[in-house]
Amino acid sequence: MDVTAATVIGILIYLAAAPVVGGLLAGADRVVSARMQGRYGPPLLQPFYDVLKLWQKENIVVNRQQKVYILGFFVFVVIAGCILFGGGDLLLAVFALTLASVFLIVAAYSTFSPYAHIGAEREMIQMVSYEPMVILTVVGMYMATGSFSSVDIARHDGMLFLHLPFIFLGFLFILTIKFRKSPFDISMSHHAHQEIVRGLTTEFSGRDLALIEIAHWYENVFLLGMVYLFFAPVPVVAVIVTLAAYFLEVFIDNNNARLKWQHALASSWAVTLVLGVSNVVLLAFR
Amino acid sequence: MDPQVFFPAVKTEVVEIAQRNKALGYRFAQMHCVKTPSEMFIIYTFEKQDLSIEQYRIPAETDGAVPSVSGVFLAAVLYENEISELYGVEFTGMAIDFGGTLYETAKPRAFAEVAAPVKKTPVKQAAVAE
Amino acid sequence: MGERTIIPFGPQHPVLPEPLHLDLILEDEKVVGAVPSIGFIHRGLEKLVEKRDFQEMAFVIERICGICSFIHGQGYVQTIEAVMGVEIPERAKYLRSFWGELSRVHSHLLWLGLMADAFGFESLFMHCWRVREKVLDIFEETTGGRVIFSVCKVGGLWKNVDDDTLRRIGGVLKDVEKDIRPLTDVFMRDYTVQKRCVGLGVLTKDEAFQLGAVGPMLRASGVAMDARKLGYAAYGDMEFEPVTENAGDCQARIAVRAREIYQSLDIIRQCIEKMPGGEVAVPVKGSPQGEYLSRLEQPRGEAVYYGKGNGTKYLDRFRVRTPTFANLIPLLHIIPGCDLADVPLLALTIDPCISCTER
Repeated sequence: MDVTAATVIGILIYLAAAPVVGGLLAGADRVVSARMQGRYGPPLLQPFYDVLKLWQKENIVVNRQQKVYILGFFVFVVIAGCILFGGGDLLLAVFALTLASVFLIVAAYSTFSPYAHIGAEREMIQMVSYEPMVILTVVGMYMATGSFSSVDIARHDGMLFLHLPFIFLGFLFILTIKFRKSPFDISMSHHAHQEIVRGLTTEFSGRDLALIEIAHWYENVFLLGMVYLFFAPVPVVAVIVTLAAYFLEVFIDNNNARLKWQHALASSWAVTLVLGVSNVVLLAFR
Repeated sequence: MDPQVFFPAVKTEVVEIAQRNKALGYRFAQMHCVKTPSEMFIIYTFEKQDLSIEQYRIPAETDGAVPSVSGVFLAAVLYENEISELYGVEFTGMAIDFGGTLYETAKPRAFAEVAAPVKKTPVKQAAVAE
Repeated sequence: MGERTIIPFGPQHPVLPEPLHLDLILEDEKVVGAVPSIGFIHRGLEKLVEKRDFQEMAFVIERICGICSFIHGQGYVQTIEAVMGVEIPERAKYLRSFWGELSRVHSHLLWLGLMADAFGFESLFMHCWRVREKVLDIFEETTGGRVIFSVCKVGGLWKNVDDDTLRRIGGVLKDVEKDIRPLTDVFMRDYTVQKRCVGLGVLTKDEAFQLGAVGPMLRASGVAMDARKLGYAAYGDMEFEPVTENAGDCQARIAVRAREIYQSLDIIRQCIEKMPGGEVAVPVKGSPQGEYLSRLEQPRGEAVYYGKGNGTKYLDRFRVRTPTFANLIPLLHIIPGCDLADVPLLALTIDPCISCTER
């Protein structure tokens, strides 16, 4: 990766703007969900208030190792985003994100809570559900543009969506899992009303939890960045589609119950095989 | 309303009564213990699908033993545990014995001591609101 | 065979409405056994008969539970009225049925919301409770209270409701019914709901009857037992049949309770149409002497009330056998063999009211 001025500017903009954008999107998610549920809902800036409050909380942990792992999770989410927005190798970015998730899982295992352990098990199953589709997405982009570099993919002639329609749909499907929305909010629901209490993050509190929340904002911006890449040549359309995809996820969340991990795994793999593989095969014979 | 007939019986007959009622299509509805300064008894209620009931009154005493009917009706097990914990009646042969931990009251056999009624001034009843 | 872990479920748990403790023995994510613990909310209310005279005791019995509060009060006063041989006016009987059926509607709406919350469908939960607010507003308008009404007394009722208000409430309830339709449609037909609930926690007809299940738990397995058919209060004049389903699984229990909401709204309409005029209370002299056992249909099932008086103004004994107490054994029967993710659904499918269970 050549480190040009554009790379550095891209990374700096991502580092500074992503938490703000991510937080605003999270706030918009909560307000829209509330209105769909017939409630008034919190103010738009609520996620920022929450993180600030968490930052000031006393840290009560049984086991201090979890801080290291959570820091690892945060660092690698940010690195993944920097690679994507700095024009680097997309496959590397995806694997950096996978590494970040592994850190989170290890953090949950390092606590002594049975709820966190079961949340971690489910998170691993979730990863197995969505990883194939994410990798096929990157492979599809390579086959369509001839490069793994995000800059080259973004500058490709013509919208990638026209070459990768099925992969786009498959990616939207697994986005529900990555955004942790019903029906696939299995390991760590935002609403805590599930059988394993808060799941993966049951034992995290204070600054660790605040860091996880901020890391989720960075991750959401990363994922929306990948959606943007499908429409990059026409920025206006890309932005509209990206925001529409996000609010589609909110809509799906509010209209579905939570399924069990068996359903999540089976349906994701079915979608990956049908949509992802068929698109790749079509590209190969182009 | 239901006719209120409480057939008297003794504790040695309970299992046989339960089996006979089960054969007639009754199921176990509930049982409870009543203790007053002058008497103490356990009432068993059996219920049929057409909502008719048959009830039996068994004299009992704290620290006395009564055979358990949970062998015939598993549903009886919670009621027998409750009575044994609150009133101190021992049920022999319970299918599941909580060993006094069902409610874990601070004072064991809390219902077995029956206080004399408290003397206090009668409550002024409010007029019926229109 | 996988490794066994023990997960504590409750007593403090976000998905449970009331404190119940289950130690779940898991092999990976399958539950192989459950060890229950209750007693977190045992207040020994039945012992208060020694300190409260029989008119005041109605207020204590009402406070056994917040959801089933009215019918507990009704059960108490009905039992004592039977012991004393007091005949209450017809209008009081009809109003008791009116409020009783409204209690059933509000309780089932509450339960539907909690069930939606248990399977992760938060927006359905919020909408059910939003509609329930209208029912609570009706309670507040007619009795002054949203949760505890304190409107039943031995001899009738403390309050009357005039006919104009009743007619207006009939109109409000028509709107409530329109609001509930889309919600019950989701419960009965949504793909993800069915994936979670169909085939879960099956209780066969025989098991349900023998293990002592009551209420919707029993009726969803095909046994048509409904204590309202005994004809207490005004139910003898109402036309209705027990709502039953045959599958005996969680989806069937959702269906029974959803259909019972419509049945209750229909009974309320009949009550309002046939409401007789007159007083709502008769004076009561003397004290209860004798014993009586009566049964009422709570939203959760058949509740048994036993009262014994000895001629003084303090009763010897008042006993309440609540429906959840009877449904606990069937719960312990259906839990083994399910997934961990299904445990909240199964705990909620009996409609647990632990404050009632423990009194």
